[in-house]
Amino acid sequence: MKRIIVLIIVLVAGSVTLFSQEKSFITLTGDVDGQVIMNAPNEASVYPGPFTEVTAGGLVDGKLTFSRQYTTLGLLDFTFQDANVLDHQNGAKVENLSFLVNELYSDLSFGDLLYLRLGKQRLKWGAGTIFNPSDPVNPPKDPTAMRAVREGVTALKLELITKSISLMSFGVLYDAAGQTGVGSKVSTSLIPGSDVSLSGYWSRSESWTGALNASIAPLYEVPGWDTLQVWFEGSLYGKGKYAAFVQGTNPGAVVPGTADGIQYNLLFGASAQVPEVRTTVLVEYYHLSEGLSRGELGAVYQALRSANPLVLDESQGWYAELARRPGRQAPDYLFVSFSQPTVTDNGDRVFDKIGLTATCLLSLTDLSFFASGGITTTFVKDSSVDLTVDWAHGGNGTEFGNSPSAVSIALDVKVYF
Amino acid sequence: MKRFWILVLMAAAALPLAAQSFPEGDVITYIDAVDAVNLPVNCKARMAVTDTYASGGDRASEGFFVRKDNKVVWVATAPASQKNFALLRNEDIFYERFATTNKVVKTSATANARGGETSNLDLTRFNTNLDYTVTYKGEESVEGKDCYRFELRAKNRKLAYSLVQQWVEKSTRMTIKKAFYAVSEKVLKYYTVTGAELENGRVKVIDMKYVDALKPEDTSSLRISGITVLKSVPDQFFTREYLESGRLFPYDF
Repeated sequence: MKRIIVLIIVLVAGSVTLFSQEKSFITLTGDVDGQVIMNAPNEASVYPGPFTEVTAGGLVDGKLTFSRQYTTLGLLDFTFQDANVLDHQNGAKVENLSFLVNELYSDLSFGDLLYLRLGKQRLKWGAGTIFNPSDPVNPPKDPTAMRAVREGVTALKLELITKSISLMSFGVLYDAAGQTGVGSKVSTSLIPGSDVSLSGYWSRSESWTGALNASIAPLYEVPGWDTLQVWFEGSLYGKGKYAAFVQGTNPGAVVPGTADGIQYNLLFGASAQVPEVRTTVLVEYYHLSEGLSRGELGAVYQALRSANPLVLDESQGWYAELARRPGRQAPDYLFVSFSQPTVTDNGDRVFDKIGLTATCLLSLTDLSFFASGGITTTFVKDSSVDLTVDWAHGGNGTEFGNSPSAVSIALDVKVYF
Repeated sequence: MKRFWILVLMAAAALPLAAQSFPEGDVITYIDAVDAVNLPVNCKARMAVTDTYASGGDRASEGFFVRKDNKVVWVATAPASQKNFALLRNEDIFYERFATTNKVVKTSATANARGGETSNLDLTRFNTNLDYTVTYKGEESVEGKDCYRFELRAKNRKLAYSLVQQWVEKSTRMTIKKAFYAVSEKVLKYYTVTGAELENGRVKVIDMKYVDALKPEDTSSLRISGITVLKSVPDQFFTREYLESGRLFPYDF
């Protein structure tokens, strides 16, 4: 909270100075979202309650931007939410109001080369669509909760952007002093048709992380095939982020252990747009060295389902550990996505205003999956109605077979401003 | 032998017809001047596009762009759901920035990021000689205006339509019609200038209408206004990193 107050003071002080100049603006953009989310519980899940069946409410997702002409001077990105959890049995309602500052920063530039950003901000790290396995800086993304708001981190970022190469250095401040870290990234598009970056980060608590990202459009010169892109991310880090599998003292019990040695993640991705049809197909493969094997994952879920109270008690630590790693419990995942911006693009009064998406995250280790399908309609100007259905499926000893929610349906009515 | 000399004489007589000399000197210099009438090399301007379909439906978007020769960045200001969407052309490479996330991905020249009849190229191509080899093809009248007709052949097929016909009004040096052809030399679409305001020999406001040659009832109306010369434009504006930083903001000037 103190940090937020300091940031607001910095922003206001900076803005007063900058607004004395000509052509400065404050602009508010975003959307108002009325939503209903219904969840069907997964009876086979090992996770204890409470389980939320119906949530109804509204949120305002806004960006207040301070700019001079077309250059931002600062930004406040916030989410105000009023969520009501409804109990279907007795109709009771629990209201929860929240105001979250996702980003709050000031921008300064020194000439046309050097840029400084101070405040709560999202730092770009990695190429993954659903999550960035090597990201040591930002709060981890949950691939099964893509609607969740993404918060930034408090940081000072300095960027040197030239037309051929860019350098970024940053320092990140967390609640605990030991978590404070520093990092750098160098990126270039000098090799024709490619974007390459090399990143490094160090903090006392996280040790070091190094990552190489490369993306290339191999057929960019060939008309019709020019939308094909492939990308790769490889990362090494000096200290495990997650617990290792260790047998407990009671037969069948498991306890969270410490992962030793250098760990690594790999990501391969490809995407292309089908000509004429305009469907974008995206495929990603993730390999995480810290993922649990099929046998280990099965043993963990078996222990948490055990009728023996001693085994259950000793294995309790895995509840929190599993919850920390959504989409990261196993070593191998395949993500496939199909998205259609609009069904047609020829002026059709109905199908030009309907968009479709379908995604599936498949654990190649235990063959459980998390699938999602969505339909977006934009019949009224500056608004949309979205219907999304999520489905988690798998066996008793699998990651998605133990998702607390088996099916989730969300209806959103958004008005953009 | 007699027949041979007759053929030589006929060929010599036909030469001026095959390669007509351009009355205003060098074609390349002239086309550069034509481009400059439409849009200064360093400038910013507003752009509004409305797609109209036979079904009666339409779709509109607005934005502004900043140009530095063959580098262009186009930022959407409307509709509200697309505010912050951006299209970047850095020479031969195209990127687009998603409206809500600031995520930047590579896109292609021929895709149409905003839909309708206008491709990414149509929104960002302002330097004719860079992408085409231009040949003078004679004089013609278009809608009662005396014009020069030029034929443009693509230097790089990825970045251009295979063949383009261009009509330039003699008196104003304004392009008043362009027709775009496929490799098969079948016309795909064309645009005509439906209105223009000039100031000091330069376009201040211009209205164009793109027509789908295969479905003439489907059209896109494009209006460029507020064209303002910029003394200097930083190269950094046209990098992926700058776009991703979110610093280039939807600007309603």
